[in-house]
Amino acid sequence: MKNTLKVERAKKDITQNRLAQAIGVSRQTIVAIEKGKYTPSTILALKLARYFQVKVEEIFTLEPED
Amino acid sequence: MTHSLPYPFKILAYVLIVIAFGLSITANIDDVRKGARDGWQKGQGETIEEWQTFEEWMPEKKAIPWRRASIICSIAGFVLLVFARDKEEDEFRQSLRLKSVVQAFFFTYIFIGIRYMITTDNLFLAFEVLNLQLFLYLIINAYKKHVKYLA
Repeated sequence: MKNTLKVERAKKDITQNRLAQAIGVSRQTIVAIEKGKYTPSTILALKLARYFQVKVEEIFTLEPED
Repeated sequence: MTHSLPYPFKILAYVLIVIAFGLSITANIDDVRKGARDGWQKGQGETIEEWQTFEEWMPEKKAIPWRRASIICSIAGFVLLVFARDKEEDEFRQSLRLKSVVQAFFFTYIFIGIRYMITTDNLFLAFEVLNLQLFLYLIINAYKKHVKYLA
């Protein structure tokens, strides 16, 4: 799965730390998601989408091998 | 958050581990004293006659309950340490913690297998295996939390 979390964060001009606090997770979680090292749960994905006011599919997309 | 005990259990875990360490030192105090004596004498290059008569503070029979208590505290501390939440924990940190347990388990048995192939010494005691797993878990978890996933 790939994601555009870093892009969305840049659009809103917020730091990883600030996003983490807003969502209620650790900064490491945001780092891991952006690096593609961690696939968030449905709840976390929905929280991120709601925060950025976009659809989940606009942040997270499946890759052919998924 | 499933599969986790509340954070205070983690503090209790560290307390139990320190107690286990203290009990173990107490149970093996005579070995500690002998080691210190022999090491000092070797370092000085002399043998002190008065030190050769060694009065045991903790005979073997007396040491057994202390060792048992140490093992119980160690096991309880390890279990609590692994399954208790961090102060700030989310789904990712929980998954890191549980992955660290699995990897510690895996590497422990790799280590034991290699050692078994190389040496003819006695195999690890169950207690030593547990301590090795705990030690590896602490290292792996700390690495994942503080090094690998920090930008």
